[in-house]
Parts: sequence; structure tokens; C-alpha cells
Amino acid sequence: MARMDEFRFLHAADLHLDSPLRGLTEKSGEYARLVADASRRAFSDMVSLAIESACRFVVLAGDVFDGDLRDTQCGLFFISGMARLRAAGIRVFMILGNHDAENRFARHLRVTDNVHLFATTGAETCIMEDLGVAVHGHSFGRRDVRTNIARQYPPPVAGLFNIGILHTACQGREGHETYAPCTVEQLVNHGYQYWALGHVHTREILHRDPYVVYAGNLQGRHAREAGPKGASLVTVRGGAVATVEHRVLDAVRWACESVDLTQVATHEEMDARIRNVARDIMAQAQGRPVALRLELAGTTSLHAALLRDRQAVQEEVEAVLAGISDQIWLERLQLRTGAPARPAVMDPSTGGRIAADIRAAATPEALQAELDAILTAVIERMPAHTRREEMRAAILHDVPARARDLALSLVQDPEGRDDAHQ
Amino acid sequence: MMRISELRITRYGAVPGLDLDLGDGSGLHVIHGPNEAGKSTCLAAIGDFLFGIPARTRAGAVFGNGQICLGARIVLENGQVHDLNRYKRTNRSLVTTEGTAVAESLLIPETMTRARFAALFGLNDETLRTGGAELLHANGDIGRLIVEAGGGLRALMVRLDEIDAKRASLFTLRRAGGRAFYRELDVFTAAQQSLRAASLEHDAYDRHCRDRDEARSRRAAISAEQTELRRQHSHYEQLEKALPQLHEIARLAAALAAQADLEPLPPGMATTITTALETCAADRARHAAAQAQVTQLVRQTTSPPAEAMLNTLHEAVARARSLGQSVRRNRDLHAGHEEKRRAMNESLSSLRQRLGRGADADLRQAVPDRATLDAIRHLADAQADWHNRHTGLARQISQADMAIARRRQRMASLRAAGHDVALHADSAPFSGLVAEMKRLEMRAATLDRRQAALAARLRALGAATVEDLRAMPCPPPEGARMAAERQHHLRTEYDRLDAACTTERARQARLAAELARLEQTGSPLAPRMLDEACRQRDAVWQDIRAAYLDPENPPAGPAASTRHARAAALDAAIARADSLSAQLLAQADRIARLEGLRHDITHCADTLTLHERTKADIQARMADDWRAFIAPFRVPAPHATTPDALVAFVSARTQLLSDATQIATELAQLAEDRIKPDTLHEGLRALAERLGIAPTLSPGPCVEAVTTALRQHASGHEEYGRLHRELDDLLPEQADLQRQAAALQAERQDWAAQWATAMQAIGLEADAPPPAACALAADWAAAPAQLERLSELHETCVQARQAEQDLTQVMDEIRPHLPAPLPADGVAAAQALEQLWQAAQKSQHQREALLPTLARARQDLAESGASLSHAHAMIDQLLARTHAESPEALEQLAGRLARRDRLAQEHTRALDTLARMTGGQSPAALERAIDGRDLPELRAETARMHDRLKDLDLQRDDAVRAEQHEETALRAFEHNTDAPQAAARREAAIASLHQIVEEYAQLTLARNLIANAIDHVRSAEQDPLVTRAGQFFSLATLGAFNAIRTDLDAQGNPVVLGQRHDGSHVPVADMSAGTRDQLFLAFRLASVETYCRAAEPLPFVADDLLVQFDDARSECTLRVLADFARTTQVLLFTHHDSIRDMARSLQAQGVAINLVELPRIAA
Repeated sequence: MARMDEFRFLHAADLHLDSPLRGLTEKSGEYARLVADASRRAFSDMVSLAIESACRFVVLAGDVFDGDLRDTQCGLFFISGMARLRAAGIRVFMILGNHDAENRFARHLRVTDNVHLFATTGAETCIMEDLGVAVHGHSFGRRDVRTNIARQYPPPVAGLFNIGILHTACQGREGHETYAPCTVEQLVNHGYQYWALGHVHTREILHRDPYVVYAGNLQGRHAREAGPKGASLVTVRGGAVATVEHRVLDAVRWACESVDLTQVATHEEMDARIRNVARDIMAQAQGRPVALRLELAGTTSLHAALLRDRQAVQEEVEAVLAGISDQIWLERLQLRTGAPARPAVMDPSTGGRIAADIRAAATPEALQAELDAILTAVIERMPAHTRREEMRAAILHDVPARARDLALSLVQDPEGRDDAHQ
Repeated sequence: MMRISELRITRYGAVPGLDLDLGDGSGLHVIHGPNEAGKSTCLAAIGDFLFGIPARTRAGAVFGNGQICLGARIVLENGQVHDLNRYKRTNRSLVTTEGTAVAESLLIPETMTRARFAALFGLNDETLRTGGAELLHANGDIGRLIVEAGGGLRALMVRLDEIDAKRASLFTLRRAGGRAFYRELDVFTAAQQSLRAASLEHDAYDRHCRDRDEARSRRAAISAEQTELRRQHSHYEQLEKALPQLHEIARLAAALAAQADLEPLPPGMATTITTALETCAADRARHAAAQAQVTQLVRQTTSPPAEAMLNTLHEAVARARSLGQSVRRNRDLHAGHEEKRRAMNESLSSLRQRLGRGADADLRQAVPDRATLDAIRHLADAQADWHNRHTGLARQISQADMAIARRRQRMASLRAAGHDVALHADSAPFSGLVAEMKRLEMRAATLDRRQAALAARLRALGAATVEDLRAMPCPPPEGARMAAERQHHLRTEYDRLDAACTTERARQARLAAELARLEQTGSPLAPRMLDEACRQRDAVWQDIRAAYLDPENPPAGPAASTRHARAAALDAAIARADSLSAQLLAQADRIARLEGLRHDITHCADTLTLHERTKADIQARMADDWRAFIAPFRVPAPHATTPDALVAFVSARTQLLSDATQIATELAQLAEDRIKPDTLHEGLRALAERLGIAPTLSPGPCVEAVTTALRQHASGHEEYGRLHRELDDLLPEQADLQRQAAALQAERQDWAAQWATAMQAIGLEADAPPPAACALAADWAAAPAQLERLSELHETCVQARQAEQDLTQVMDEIRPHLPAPLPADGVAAAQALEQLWQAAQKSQHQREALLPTLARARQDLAESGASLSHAHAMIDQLLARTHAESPEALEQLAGRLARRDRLAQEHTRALDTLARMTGGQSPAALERAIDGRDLPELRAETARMHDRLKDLDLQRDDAVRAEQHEETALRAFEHNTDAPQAAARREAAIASLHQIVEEYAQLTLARNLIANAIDHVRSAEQDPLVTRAGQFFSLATLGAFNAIRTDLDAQGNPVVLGQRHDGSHVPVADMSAGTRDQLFLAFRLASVETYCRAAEPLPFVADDLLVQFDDARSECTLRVLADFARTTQVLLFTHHDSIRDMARSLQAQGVAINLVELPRIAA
């Protein structure tokens, strides 16, 4: 059989189908619907991309599903996508990642016959004679695979284009659970032509020739997964990788931007800067809905006003964003501004004395202790599922300084404008 | 201390220029100005001078921002004097008069903002009132007082309240549905439940797949069975339908065999025969009808002779009809024409008369031209208008002259009465004078009466004067009362003993009487009498017993009489012994009672002795005590005899002394209250003298007379002024009217000249009156048209007469040719002729219309004859072929042939129907299939199959539905996003919860920081601030309160209290609104003073601060501000004259106040 000299395949990972997008407050039912099935739409677009770009096969490097997901409908949706690929004559090679391993239905999927799910018991190899390709893979049998399973992968099949599919926390990729650890050097030396990696959600090419590639996840799930997300379209020519292109597939774009308000003295100026940033983001999003985490930073005379009526500021920013596009949503507004420094002059008025007392009392330790007590009273009334340590940490980090500045602002300028005192 | 010694305002606001000289700047400056004097401008200017002119100021709206210049000479604490100007600029806005820029810190410390300055060093009436009200609301909370009043931070407390409200809306420890936190929790819970409900478990999915497959196989099996059953069912239905058809076919075959003799004649022969017979009969009837119609039409188309004659006179008749109509029309119009001619002659007759012409004179040559007539009408109208205007003007001149004269006359009389001069006096102050003096007199009379009563009471108490009574040694009321109580106590005890003695004596007497009664009622019974009776009883019994038990005697014993006697003796002895025993027991009881009574009597005597002795002791103690108590005092004897008399005396003395003090106080108050009415009375007398009223009149009539006189004078003066103004208005008006009269006269002369010319044109005199001239002109204007119309009427009359003559001539020519006579009158004859002519024309038209019909009838007659011949030939041929003897026999044969043909057709059709029913099966095959079964048997079999099919249909539908349901469910699962949607909602709720927690934590932490800081500041500042505020408060309340104290309220919060001289405390809630305002002011001033001790003192600016205070409170507050002004410069702006007057009065009393009057700004 004559082998194809050139073909394409799609490398995707960490689909996390039906994983909810975190941190977005519900602004409207329409918006909720938009973000709810973002991962599904990204997956559908991935299937369409594979078909339109005439891929011969698709490799999925783990974490197709979310760990705590119990909904078999998600699996059916996945199968319908596989059926579309089957109708187009595209094969699929997939491994289970740590999230799939803990998923209750992932291993019981009755996938279509174009899909090959690699075993959890050990690495195995599939060979496509018509393409001259050998695909090697090893599924996670359980969530916490702490061993270097890359070592168990078979040696490359001579004369074929060897692809290794691996779900791994490759060395140097901190911030992720260290499952199936390995090193880039180890992979490079294994002899495969292409390593299709999963687990790390940021796209990265760790090595070229041979290629070691994290495709990143298909759809960002929260503000820390900002930027374009998608899959890698690989072209193989003459038994070697010719190109690795990143194709954007996310349905909803996360963006995390900071606006510097230094020297800004009016709301009009602030709005203008926010508008500029938002326009850039929308241009980059190419028409996708954007969930924006916006940080206002810098030393500005608006600091007190921003602190004092946070709701109004939030609405103002939302109005600015709405003026740019109805596809941009303010996920969160973070105030990290500061007030311009004032000369340390004794103010003998009552207000000055109260302000001085606040400055003296508001030590970091005292504020942390009091805030901790406040939070304890509130958080113990929250269901376990809603308590997130990151929330508590963020509040303990951000709130003390803001509360102190707010208190000082109220004392020094109770009316919130210069000429309003009685 | 920074103070302003001079303020210069140039082109600022509406003020072109204003200098405010504040002396050396120190002390209290009361700046008084009426409304629009620039007071508010000054206030704003001080702020703008100190802190710069804002970018968006309206102060430059009149003169322009570039023209603003605010200058001030300021004196600093160290004695330096700076003369500075402030301009509206972005930079270097504060400069010296030489133009050198000056640092802002020269004026104001860096920590002082405009807002804080306004809050701390500025105070107005509204702030004061609001502060007082808030103080009440907070129940005197010290922390709040220090922050709000002292720190000028009322807005901070409002912000704290807002934060509390916001926190409460976010989260509270107690669950409540309105809290955002719990709302989001509910959303989270609902989303979680929705997620669980929407999630599809793997087992459930498998179950759906299994159910779908089962339903699918069940559906296939049912379908197969249905197919077979339907086939059989269809077959049986065919047999069921074929069976009757087979029977019908057999019947038809038998009927055809019975008509075998007609076989030589072909099918359809019956129709041929019937058609030939019917055609012959129809042609016969048609021919007869055609003959009748031709005969009738020939009769109708022939003309009568009279109508033929009229046709020969056609032209003469037409002329007669035309002339007749013309003459009839002329006759109808004749009366109207005559009437019109008469009316026109009448209207022209007046014109002829005016011009002196005859009745039929031709006026056409004398008609004037149209322009002349129009000019006459216009001149007449102008004359009428002129006349109206002239009349109106004359009336106005006359009215103006009269009005001027009347006013001059009235003003002269008012001048004579002196009402031309204003009298600046008001009777209002005297309105209450009489009542007030009456009240004072009544108060004085009441006091006199009370003094007289007091003297009487004094004499009753044995004192000559109040002082004597006050100096009289006398036990205090409490001492007297206690002594009286002691005496009363002893007296009570004595009385109790006395009562006990009385009771004992009564008992003793009662016991003695009882004893005597018992002693008298006793009987002389002794115990030995009972012993004797018992012995006698026993003796009798021994006799009986002996006799009964004696062995010597037989059982019969003694004689019966003996036995009876002994038994009777025994009964008597027993009864006597019992009676004596009872009597003896009663005797013992009586003796015991006698002993008891004697003992009680003895006890009573002992008790009486004891009580008498105790009574004597008590009497002695009462006398001793009283003597010892009363000895030190000099109470008059009658009042010192008994404790009650003494208590009454002491009470009366105390009451009398109190009354005497009150009367003295009221007398002093009366004297004070009399000052004002007396002053007013003096003023009243002076005013009465000025008005010419006898000043000796008593106040009532005097006030009344003065009020009346003032009212009359005011009325007269007002009338004088009004008349003067009216006169000033009337004189120019009069002159103007006279000018108008002259102009009218000139206009009249012009008109007269034009009028003369016009009259000449229509033949009237130059002075002809306009109405007559107008009437003539109107007649002339209508005359040409009437003359023309008269001519036309005459022409019409001539033409009518000619037509009458022509008609008579034509009718005479026609009459001889007509068969019937015509009327003599031409018009009537023409009308009769017209009717004859119309009738003849109508008959002719009808005849001509029938001619085509006649031709067609003749044609039909020929055709029907030919058809009838052909039909007869056809009948003859059929008779020959069928060998029938007559047409009737032929008709009967046709009937038989037709019945034979119908049977043959039915037989063929039955066979065809059977073939279609059974799919082409032959009757023999069907017979075999039926196999001898009858129709009910076949139907029963079909029904059974039908029922089974229906049952299978239902089962199949169920199976299909089940399969579709499962398919739909499985398809829906693939694209169902309910679970992701619910998960998204759950995540959104978590995000909202986190935001809420964050905001709540931030607000709570900030609020706690502020509250703790306020507590600390309160602790540190409370004592000195409260002390100093107490001093201001005491001064402000004119000593009604002497200090401010602090205490804890019921909730343990520190609060302030006002302290009175007697040491009592008044909570804020019990203070009047004005007192609370003063408390607020006291804290503000004390706080500013504290500030000024620690930093550069700045001017304290008060804006109409005293507007809500009464005079006494205002004066006290002015004194407080003057006292406070020793700390820093105080600027008090006011537009109230009373405050200005009060400041003047205080100035006169030596209080350091600088009074500055603002001039009114020129418009």
C-alpha cells in the first residue's frame, strides 16, 4: 500500500467538557446560556476544524471530561462529535487524563468505532499503515498517577511517524498537579517524532524536532486561563513535522487586564483608558464573547471615590464596556489603586484625630485578625461547596488596605466632594 | 490667629465693588445687610479668597471670570499684615497687591481643605437645627456629639448609617430572605438541585437504550402479524360481499330464459319503436299550433281608418302641437312678467319723483357714473364716523374736565383737614393695651384681696406682721407632726384601754346577772335521796327474785295479784331512782357553772383594775411629753394646747409665709409687667394730643379714638395721594383730548368741500344731508339694471300675442279633417290633437313590431307539415318489420323488448361487479371458497379478525410511542445543556456570594475602624470638651444650666446631660429644641476652640445663625459668640434688623462687637 507523503492531524487536550466557567456572576439568562455550553461549542468547533482541514486523525491528550461530573449527557455529546468525525473518515486516538480517571462514566463510554481509547493498564501502540503512523498512548487508571509513565511507552516503530500521547506535568510546568511527571529531555530522547501532551492548560511548544507540544485547553474556564485557547493543527510531510499551527477554538474568551490610572483625575479620563483597553481586547477576541477581569491600578486622586461607591464604579465600567460591545462582560473589577501621598502634617481637628487614630490602629496584624474574625462568622454559614480557600486568601490579601483607605476617605471627606461639608 | 481686617470684593457675582472694613479683625463682627445687599456674595467670597476660586464658578457670570478680584488684608498670629489679592487662575492665583505670588499655606494650613473649613468654621441656621434634631435622635450620644457638633462631621455619621444599612442588606448573622447573602445561597441551592435533576446517570442511559430496543423488536413482531391478518381479513370481506351478488346473478339468468321468443329482434329495438311513435305525435301537435298562430298575427297587423287620416295631416298636426306648447308657456309666464314690470316701475317712480320726471319718463340718459356714486357713499360713511368720533371726544373732554374739578375740590378739603401730610404712627401696638392694663389691674386687685386675706390669717395666728410670724419660735412642721403623732399614739392606746375597761365592765355585769339567776333556780336535792330510792328499788327486786327462785315454792309461785303488785312496785322504784339520778346530774352541772361564773367575775375585776392603772400612767406620759415638747417654743396659747392645734398652726404658718412670698414675687412681677404698658400709655397720650384728642380720656376710649383717628387719617392720606396721582394722570389726558378735537375740526372742513362736489354731480344742493344723498345714490345705482329688464319684458309680450294668432289659424285648418270635434280654445284643441297623435303613433309602432313574428310563423307552418309526413312513413316501415297490426300493438311490443334489454344489462353488470369485488375470481371459485357457509357465518369470522387487528394496532402504537419516546430522550441527551446551564448558575451564585462576602468584609472592617477611632477620640477629648462646652452652654442658656455632665444610658452608652443649678440633670430628650440647638453650638464652639489652641486659628463664619431663636436666646447667643471671639475672629452675617439692634444694644453695654452695615447693591 502506498503511503501518503503528506497528511494532517489535530492535537487537542483538556477539553473539560461541561466544566462550568467560574467567577461569572449571572447578568442575564442569555449570558448564562452563552457561558454554560462554551466548552461544548469549542469542542464542536474542534470537530469542524478537523473535518474542514482534512485531518486524517485526531489525538486527544486526556481530560476530555471533568472529574466531578456525573452527567452522562456530556458523554453522549462527545460521542455525537466522534460520530461526525467518523462520518468524515477521521480516526481518533485518545487517552484518559487524571480528570477522566475520576469521572464515573468516562471509562464506560460506548464510543464509535473510529475512536481508539488507550488502555489504562499500560502503554500500547496503534499503527495506521496507510499513513505510516504509529500512535502510542497510556490512559490514567486513577487520578493520582505519580509515576513517570512516559518510561513505559514503547520504543518508536521504525520507519513510521511515531506520536506519543501523554497526560503529564512535565518538569518546569509549576502550578499544576504533578501527575505522571517527566522531563522534556526524556521525551526528546525517546525517539518519537511528535509528543502530544495534555494536562497543562497553557499552550506551549516545549521542543522542536522532535516536537513536544502542550496544545493547551480548548476553552478557558476562569480568569486565570485568559487569552486565546484552542488546538494544534499539525502537518506532516515526508515523515517529519512540517508545521504546528495553533488554531483558536474557544467560544468565550477570558481576559485579565490592568488599567493604570496614575495621574488620572477625572472619571472621563478613567473611562477613556478603560475604553482603550477594552477595544484592544475585543479586537483580539475576534467577535467572541469576552469575560473580562479588570484591574484598576495606579496612584490616582480618584482612589477614594472608587473605594466609596464600588457599585457605582462597577456600573460605570459596565456602561463603558457596554458602549464598546454587547459581547464583553465584566467578570470582576479589582481595585488596586492608591491615593496620592499626603504630607504628614498634624491635623488637630476631630476628623484629623479620628483619621490619625485609624492610621495608628490599622496595622496589618490587627486588620488581619479582625478580618479573619469577620470572615469566620460569614463563611461558616456557607455550604462547603461554595467555600474556596482562594476566596478567603484573596479577601485577606486585598480587603485590609481597601478597608483602611475607605475608612480614611470617609473621615477625611465624608461628603465625597470638596464643598459639601456642613 | 489669622484674621481678616478688610475684605475687598471686585466684580464678583453681582457685586461690582464692595469693601468690608473689619477694623483690626479681632472680635465679633456682626455684618448686617438687607436682602440683595451681597451678604451671600460676601460669604462665598471669603471661601473663594481663602481656598481659591473654583474652576466652574458662577461668580463671573455678570462681569466675566477674568474680572474677578477678591482682596483682603489679613493679620497673622505673629502680627504680620499681608495685603493679598485672589484672582481666578489655575496657578499663582494668590498674589500680593504688588503682584508677587504667595504660597497658599500663608492663609490656610495644608491639612485644612475647603470642605473641612466649611464644616468646622462655618455654621448656619439649618446646620444648627439639623444638629439639634440629630442630637435628640441620638439621645445625646457623646461620641456622636463630638463628631457631629464638634468635628462638623455630620456627614460621616450619615455615611456610617449608610454603611450599616448596606451591610445589613448584604449579610446578617440571622438568616433573612432580604439579605443578598442568603438570596444567593438560595440561588445556589436551587441550581445545585437543578443540576442533580438534570444530570443523566449512566444506568439511566442504559435503561433508556434497553427500553428502546425492546420497543423496537416488539413493534416488528406486531407488524408481521398484522400483515397476515389483514390479508385474511380482506379475503373474508370479499367473500362476504360476493355471496349476495352470486344470488342476484342466478335470479337474473332465470328471468332472461323466460323472454326467449323475442330473440330475433335485436337489443335496442324497443327504443327505435318508442322514438318513432313519439316523433309522429309531436309533429302533429306542432303543425296545428303553427296554423293557429299565423291566423292571429295577420289580424293584429292590419291598421284602422282614423289613424290613416292623421298620417296624411302630419305637417299641420306637428305645427299645431308646437304652437300649442308655446302659447301655453306664454300664458303661464304672463302673470309673473306683469308683476315684475309693476315692481320695477314702482322702484323707479321714487327716483323719477326726486328728479321731477313723469311716471314713464326715460331715465337712461340721466344716469350718473359709478365712481360718483361710490364717492358719495364713502363721504357719507366718513361723515357718520366723524360724527361718532366727535361725539365721543366731546364726552371724554367733558368727563375729564369734571374729574379734574372733582379731584381738585376733594384734595382741597383733604388739605384743609391736614391729610396731605403723612402721619408715621401705628395703632397696632395699642390694640392690646387696654386689655393688658385691665389684666394688670385685675392682677393688682387680686393681689390686694390676697394680701387682705393674708392679714386676716395673720391675725388669726396671733402675729401682727409676716416678719413677726416668720421670727416666731415655732417647731418645724415635721417636728410638730412627729410630736402630734406621739401624742396621738398615746391617746390611741389610752382610748383602747378605756374601751377595754368598758367592755370588761359590761361583761362583769352580765356574769353577775347570770350568777344570780342560776343561784335562784336551784332545787333542794341531796345525794342521799338518790341512795334511798336505790335501796327501795333493790328491796323490791329482792322480793321478786326470791319468790321466783325459791326452791320451796312451786313454779306457779304466788298468786297473780301478788305478782302484779310486786312488778308495779318494782317499776315505780326503778322510775323514781332514774328520775332522782337525772336530777342529781343536772344539779351537779349547775353547781359547776356557778363556780365558773364566780371565777370569771373575779377575773373581770382584776382586769379592770389593771386597765385603770395603765390609763392613769398614759395620761401622765401624755402630759409630760407635751410639756417637754412645747416648752422651747412661743406658740400662742390657743394653738399650743393640743397637738392637732399645733400642727394646724404650723401648717397655716408655713402656708401663710409661702403665700406672702408668692404675693411679694407677683407684686414685683406686676410692677415689672406694668412698665411696658405704661410706656405705651404715655405714647398713646402723646399721639392723642397730636391727633387732637383729649389726652385725659381713659385708655379705652382714648385707644379707640386714636385708632379711629389714625385710620381716618391714613385713609384720608391714602386718598389724597391717590387723588394726586390721578390728577397727574388726568391733566395730560385732558390736553391730549383737546388736541384730538382740533384735528377733528380740520378733518370736517376737508369733507365739506368734497361733499359739495359730489352733490352737484347727482343734482342735489351742496348742503344736502348725507342720508338723503345716500338714498338717491343707491337708487341711481340700481336704476340701469331695472331699465334694461323692463325693455326685455315688453319684447316678450309682443311675441306671445303673435303665437296665439298663429295657433288659431292652424287649428281651423285641421278641424274639418278629423272625425271627432276639438275644443274651441286653441291651446285645449292643440292638447286634444296631441293626445290623438300620440295614440296613433303608439298603435303603428306595435303593428310594425309584429311583422317579423308573422313571417317566422308562416315558415314554421311549412316545416311542421313536412316533418309530419316523414313520421308517418317511419311508422309504416316498423309495422311491416315487426308484423304488428297497428301502432298500439307496436307500442306494446316495444314495452316487452325494453324489459328484456334491462334484464340482460343487469345480469352483465352483476357479473362485472362480482369480478371487481373479488379481484377477477370466477363465481365457481368463489362458491368453492364459501364452501356452503352463509352470510352470518362469514361476518362472524370477519369481525373476529377485525377485533384482533384493532388490538394489534393499539399494541403497535404503544410500541412505536415507546420507541420514539426513548429515541427522543436519547437524542435529547446528546444536546441537552440543562445540566451545564444549572452548573453555570451554581457557579454564578458562588461568584456572587464571594463578591458579597468581600464587600461585607470590607465595609465591616472600615466601619469598625471608624467606630473604634471615634471611641478613642471621644475618650481622649470628652472631659475638656464637655467642660468647655458646659461653660458656653451655661452662658447661652443664661444660667438655666450651669454645666454639661456625662452619664451612661440604659444601653450603657455614654450620653450628655444638662445640669441645673440645683444639681438636677436634664437628658437631651427633655430639652427644648432651642436648648438642644444651643448645646450643639456649645460643642461646636468648644471644639473649634480646641482646634485653635493646637493650630492656626481661622475666622469662624456664621450665617444667619439666630434666625430661629427668640430675642432672649439670640442675645445670649450673641454674648456667647462675643466670648468665643476672644479665641478667633467671628463673622456673623445677618439680614435681621432685630439682630442688628441687639448688637447695638450689647455694644452700648460694653460688649465687644463690631457692627458692619452692608449697603444695598445698586441694580
